[in-house]
Amino acid sequence: MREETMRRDLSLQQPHIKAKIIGTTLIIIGIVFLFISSSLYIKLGFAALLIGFFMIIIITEKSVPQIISNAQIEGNADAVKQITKELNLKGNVMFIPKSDILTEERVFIPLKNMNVSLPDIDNDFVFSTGNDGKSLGLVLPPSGLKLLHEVEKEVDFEDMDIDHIEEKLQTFVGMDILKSVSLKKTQDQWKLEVGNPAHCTQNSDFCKQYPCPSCSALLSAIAKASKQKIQVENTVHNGKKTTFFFTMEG
Amino acid sequence: MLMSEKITLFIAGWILFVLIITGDVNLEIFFILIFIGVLIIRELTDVFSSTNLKDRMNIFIYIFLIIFMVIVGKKVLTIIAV
Repeated sequence: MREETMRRDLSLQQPHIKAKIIGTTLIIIGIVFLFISSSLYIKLGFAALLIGFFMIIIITEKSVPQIISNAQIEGNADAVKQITKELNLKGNVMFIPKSDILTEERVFIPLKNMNVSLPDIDNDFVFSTGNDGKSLGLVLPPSGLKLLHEVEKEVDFEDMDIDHIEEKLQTFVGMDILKSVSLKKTQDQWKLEVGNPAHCTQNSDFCKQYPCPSCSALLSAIAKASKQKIQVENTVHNGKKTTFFFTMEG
Repeated sequence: MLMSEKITLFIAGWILFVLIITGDVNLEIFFILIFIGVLIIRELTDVFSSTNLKDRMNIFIYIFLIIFMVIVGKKVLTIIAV
């Protein structure tokens, strides 16, 4: 009984349910107003009807409370954090685009930042035990790869001019994954500014190694579009925005 | 706030604004102004909207287009009759 009440309360908090309740009420009010023979009431009736229909037809998305979706993501992030800590990996992440031997984007977390030599990465490659010491590291699918696949149902990032990527990245804002996104070139680096990414860990050190799904999907999209490797140089959090500074290599 | 909620809020605001500025003017202008507002909002939010949301907004555009054609048709008939 208590569970049922709780479920009902939760479903009432869903935006599409609220919109349906308010929309239906407005439609009923609108119909009543239409029967009153006064030009003002007829206009009010049509206005109420239109707003009601807009609410019912346009607001249809179900949403999961952020605390629950964050909890789902944090489990995976903690596992990667633990692995990188145990392997003593200190290098910044590199996003690797698809190639002839790699069918999906990957991230490479090297042992350290200096003198990194990228191994030949294919789909099954995970631990790089490079004998020269330069290519030691871990290869993983980006945390935002599945998210990118979902976004790609709306927009295609393949073979795109780098100057047009920023416009396409706005799809992430439209899908309510981020509040804002901007990509700018500053001297020898690129600057990706992400506003309020969902599931952000707000941990700069971890962002440099394994960014959250939202930021990871953005960086993977850029790697995919430019067909270049993305080396994250630095990340900065200022509470509302997360900024990535990165370079691109052919 | 979801993108669809923002769009609905803008459209509701626009409808109320049009309701106030049209005052006693006939319903035709009221509908045409709402139609123009919906078209502008649809165009401005194009980059940020998902395909599903665009499709749902298009439903209204088609309905308003039919209403607009009826209004224009009526006007043409009135002018021809004169």
